[in-house]
Amino acid sequence: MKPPKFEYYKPATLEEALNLLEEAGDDGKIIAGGQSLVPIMNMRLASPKCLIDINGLEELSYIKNEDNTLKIGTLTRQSDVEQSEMVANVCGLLAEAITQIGHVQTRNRGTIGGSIVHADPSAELPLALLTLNGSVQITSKDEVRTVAAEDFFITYLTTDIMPTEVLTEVTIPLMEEKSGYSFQEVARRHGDFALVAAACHMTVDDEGIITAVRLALGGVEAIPLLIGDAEDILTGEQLSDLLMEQVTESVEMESDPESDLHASSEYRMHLAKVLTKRVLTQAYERARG
Amino acid sequence: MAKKIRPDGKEKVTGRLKYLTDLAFSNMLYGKILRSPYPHARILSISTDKARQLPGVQAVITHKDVPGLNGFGIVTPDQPVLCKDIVRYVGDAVAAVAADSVETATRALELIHVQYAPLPVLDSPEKALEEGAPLLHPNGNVLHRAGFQKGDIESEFAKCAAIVEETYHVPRQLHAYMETEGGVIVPEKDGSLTVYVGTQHGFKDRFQLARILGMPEEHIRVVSSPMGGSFGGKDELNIQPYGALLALSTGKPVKIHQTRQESIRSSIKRHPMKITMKTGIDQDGRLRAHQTTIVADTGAYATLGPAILDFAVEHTSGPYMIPAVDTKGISVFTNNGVSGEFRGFGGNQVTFALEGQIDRLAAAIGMDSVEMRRLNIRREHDLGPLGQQIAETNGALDVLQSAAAVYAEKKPSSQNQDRWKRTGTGMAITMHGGGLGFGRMDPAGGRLSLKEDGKIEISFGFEEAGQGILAVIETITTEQLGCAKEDISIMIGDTSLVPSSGSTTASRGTSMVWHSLQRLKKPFLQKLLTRAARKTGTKEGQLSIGPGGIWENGECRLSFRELASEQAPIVISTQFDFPVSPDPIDSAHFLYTYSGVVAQVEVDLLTGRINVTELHQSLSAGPVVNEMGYLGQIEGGGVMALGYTLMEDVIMADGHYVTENLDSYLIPGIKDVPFNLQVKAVESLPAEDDYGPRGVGEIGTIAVAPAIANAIYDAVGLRVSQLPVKPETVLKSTEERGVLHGSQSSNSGGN
Repeated sequence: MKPPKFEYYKPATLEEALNLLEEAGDDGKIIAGGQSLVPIMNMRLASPKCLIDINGLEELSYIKNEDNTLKIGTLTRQSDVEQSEMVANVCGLLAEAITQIGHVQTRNRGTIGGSIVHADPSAELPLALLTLNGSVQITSKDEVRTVAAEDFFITYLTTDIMPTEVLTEVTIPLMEEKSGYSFQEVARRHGDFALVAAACHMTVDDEGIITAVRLALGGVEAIPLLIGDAEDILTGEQLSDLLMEQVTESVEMESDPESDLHASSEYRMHLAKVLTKRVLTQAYERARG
Repeated sequence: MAKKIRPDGKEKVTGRLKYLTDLAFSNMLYGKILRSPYPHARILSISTDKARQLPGVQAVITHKDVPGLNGFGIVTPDQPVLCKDIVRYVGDAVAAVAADSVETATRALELIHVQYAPLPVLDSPEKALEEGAPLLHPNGNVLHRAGFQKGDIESEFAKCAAIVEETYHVPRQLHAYMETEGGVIVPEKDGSLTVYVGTQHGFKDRFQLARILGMPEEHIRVVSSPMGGSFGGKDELNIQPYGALLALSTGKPVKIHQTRQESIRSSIKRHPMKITMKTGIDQDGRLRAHQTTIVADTGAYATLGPAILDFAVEHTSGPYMIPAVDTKGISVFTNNGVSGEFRGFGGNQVTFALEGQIDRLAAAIGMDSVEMRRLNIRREHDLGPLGQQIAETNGALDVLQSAAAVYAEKKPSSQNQDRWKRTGTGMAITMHGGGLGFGRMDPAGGRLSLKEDGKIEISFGFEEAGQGILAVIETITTEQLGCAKEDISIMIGDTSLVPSSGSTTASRGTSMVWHSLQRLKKPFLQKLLTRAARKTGTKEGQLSIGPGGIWENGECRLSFRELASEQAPIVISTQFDFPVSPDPIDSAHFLYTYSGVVAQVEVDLLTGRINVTELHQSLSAGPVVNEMGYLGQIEGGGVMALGYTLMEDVIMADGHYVTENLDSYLIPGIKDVPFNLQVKAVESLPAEDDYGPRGVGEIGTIAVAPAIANAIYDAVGLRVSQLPVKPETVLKSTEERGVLHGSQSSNSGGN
């Protein structure tokens, strides 16, 4: 199918894009990689009247390491991040998550910002951003504001971003030494949205005592879900089967996955627990080196 | 054998090939079809006034506008082109619109007001067979019964050491061809009609359209090739009648190209079947009695439902010699989507059940399953499964031996790196009939011409659906005539230009091309050489055909162009029938192909996910014509069957499609393809075999599901009796039996 008719603008500067967005109001939509938006338009699930194409805004495409913070421009292609040696060195979780997004072809086109603002509850980047305690920079004609990932996702496909705003940058605080990570998911087929995805980022001391941990799950709620209890249960301890059991109990308490054609709620819950153990184990092993 | 690039390959991979849905004509309109929102309802009224008034709408048609027979169906025309009083499934067409744009046509559909009175929905064969169930057709809800009996079933069961009884459920599979149904229908100035719509049998479409339109067949030209895939799904009419009616009523070309959602709603699918098999084996491992009941959900209309059931019945005992067989099949009308032709034609369903039985029986008497198959396998001179004489080959044993060697090598399952994973190996074999079977008109034919431009034109009424018939024609023609591929031009898929060759179906294309060339070659070459002798003044005996033209003493004496110039074309035609058994047994086949499949799976006990890591297929189908085409058919067929086994199911609830598109109906992607995918052709045929290469369009799809199912049992002890095998089912079964923690016990209860 083809999308319904729309107006198309290709601004030369961010300022121009923001002006267009302001004018279009609720009718406007930013298009970047188009890997989510175009299918939705083709299926006629959305019919924005006005598309503002930011693909020309090269200044929004960059990967920087500044002040121990990874900064990625919104227009940076997922494959650029995937292939970045710097990202692999300083933020392995993100690198690992990216390889699991869709297919090579979609990653070549899909952008970092695009996947995050689309906010599919089982998508990889929102989950990675949450797990890494990242934040996003949001720009409108009038202001630039920063929102933590924990506050950014509201519900299915809905974020804190307003129609006149553009997500311009993603920032991620970098890993400490002696830290480990893991990102794993189960999808019905390779490249499909995950039935459940899990991510963990963990730091340990020389004795193997966990000093910090963040665990989050995708696909079990309307937004990526941070399992706050994991921090309480695991901090100050060495990872053990008993503690992992406790974490999975919290997972069960806090998540409420839905049933659909692809999997029942029970199966998703089962996967959430299995993946929780897998990412905790792998992150711990990696952190201990 | 050198790998030959298919003649249509370059145009396809570069995207230059124009499919029929890519065609555009000036003044072309766009058609849309209004289909029933109810699976079963009475039509009280149809009002098209508002739709007609919409600017841009050029025609709105209903049952009143069908000049001829308001019905279609390859064998029985029981499906209304446009429903008048009753709709029987959600794909039933009620009206159609032609407009200036797709958007306007779509909008117009919304303005057609149809009043329905919903009727009880028969959404399963069981409901349709209940006493007092509403009758979907004048003759009731049973489309067809078929059966086969031989031997004394009860006394043979009495001799058995073990009897296994199991009920198998197989799903409704979508063909999922890349190009959905579509094309353009053009009214010509002389009052005739040209139908550019992909189909598997242009002449049959022409026949059906003539009947619907009340037009002589000669006034209809069907251009039916190339197609972006079919797999059996485009053998029946789809959008042609609507395009034709709209084109005739507007006098303008009308294009219809269904969306994927429209396609899923209206297209035929593979028959879901419930198959109960009770099979007995004696203590020596000999199969003695085999009793089968098949219940097929054929959906709302007949199409090829009867033939598919007949085929399933014939293939119920596969390549095994069993003294007593008792098979009963019933194909039942329901208000579900229409089931019809699909690569494998009923063989896939019964083979899944049969090969599941074989593994269970071997286990039941503690015998090696390969050995047990060998003990019961048909031999070269054995009669066919319906007691008919068949073309004698040792194909069944050949593929069994070939697969057994692979199986022996793969069987000792390696230790998995992860303690929560298990590896298993499984095997299955099958035989599959080609052609339509005894008692069904199965004419074939072809034509060779030396045209004025010096090209040797080879012409068939077949269609290229991606299966590689063009490559087969090119290879066989050049090999048989001795000329080069540059010397020939291939003409197919246009009823105004080609001879009738029968349907592009039933694995018959390759066979029929080869048989045609056997008949055409001699008289054609004779005529060429006679003319060449006259032109060159050389004796015929010294001349031969070679690349580029006529050769003498290792030199090309006369090019084909010179040979053709200033003279009438040389034309040789042939018409014949697909070879059938000399025994007059209805629907029995004569030419069979055989396959032996070994699958290896890795099962994750924590997620229940199955990964097919290896798939080895051994085939016996005579000589390989075109290696790339052969591999494409077998590998592609294997992957299609893998989807059937692990993920594909067109789910319906209360007569409505639940899986409406390819986001919910999943087919395998490239990463689901087994990493180790092997095809082995056992090409040998008996010296006296007269039938040449057999078609391999279907055989690659048939024994894959049971091989995977048997591998799953080997890995985790789960007896699979329902497809597709879902991770949740595997997980539940393995958790219940504590497979992860070592206490692995088999679960004969199945899933």
